[in-house]
Amino acid sequence: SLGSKSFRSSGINAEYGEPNSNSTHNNTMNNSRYLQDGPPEGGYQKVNYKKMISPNKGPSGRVLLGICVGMSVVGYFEVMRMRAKRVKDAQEKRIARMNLVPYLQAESDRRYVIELKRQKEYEAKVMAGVKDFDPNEKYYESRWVPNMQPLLSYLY
Amino acid sequence: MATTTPSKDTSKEKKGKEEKAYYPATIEYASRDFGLTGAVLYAANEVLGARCSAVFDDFTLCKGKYENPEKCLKEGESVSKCAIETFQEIGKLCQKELTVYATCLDKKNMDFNNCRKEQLEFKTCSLPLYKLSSSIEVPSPEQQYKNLLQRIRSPVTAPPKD
Repeated sequence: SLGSKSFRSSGINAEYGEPNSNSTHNNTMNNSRYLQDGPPEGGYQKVNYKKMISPNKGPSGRVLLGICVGMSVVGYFEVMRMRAKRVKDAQEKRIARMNLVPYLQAESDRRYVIELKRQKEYEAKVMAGVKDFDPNEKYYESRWVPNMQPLLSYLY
Repeated sequence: MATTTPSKDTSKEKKGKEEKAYYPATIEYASRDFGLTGAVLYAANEVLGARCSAVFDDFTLCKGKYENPEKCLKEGESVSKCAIETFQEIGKLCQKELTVYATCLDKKNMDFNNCRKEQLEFKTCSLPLYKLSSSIEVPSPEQQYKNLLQRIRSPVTAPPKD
């Protein structure tokens, strides 16, 4: 055998095989030895084609189901708890804003009134000699509607 | 909080001239003059609501009646004065805790959940402030009852036209 031991690790083992002993090819094929690519000594190793999951190990189905159910139950209660917390936080913020509304609204009203007065005076100055001009004309009877929008220049 | 404002003596038993609280010439810029930013107001909202509830309710009822802001300027003035007085009282007791709480709110997205420690400290410090301010006159319960009866027995009419 020519160097078959050195090729064993690669899996290729070239051997010199004997010719066919059948009488069919006696007259056509050469009766000499030829190079052949064959299996290693002892044959190939066994290939594991079966599943690795062994059903006899690990927790049973009931236990797994129980774990899933437990996790979902814990999750439901966590969701309820966090929802209550969110509602409480929103209420806290709402109460804070309600407490502050009158103070801020009073300031805004003062600024609005001053700005409106300033614009009304300017309008009266501009329309001094104009006929049939009523500065306090009512635009709407049943509700209070201002004659003009303030410029809100104090915002810029 | 502006530290240049003088403090007010709320004791009415003081003899001689009564010292008035310092109000600027125009209260329209109270927030600017007293440094009342959003975080500071958020921090002191419960104290304001507890001390100035009577004045705030008057203002809100007036606003509910009239749309014209010129009709509620008087109540608005008292509202601002009450707020300024409460902040001056807070400044006497626990100005540091208020500033710490307000800066925490400012940095942490104005969320009360993120500043629970500072909130606890401020609340424990400001517990004695939870009562109506001294400048507000609250009628006695008997008078309140009489006012309520008068309101109930008066005829129901539409609000006045502005």
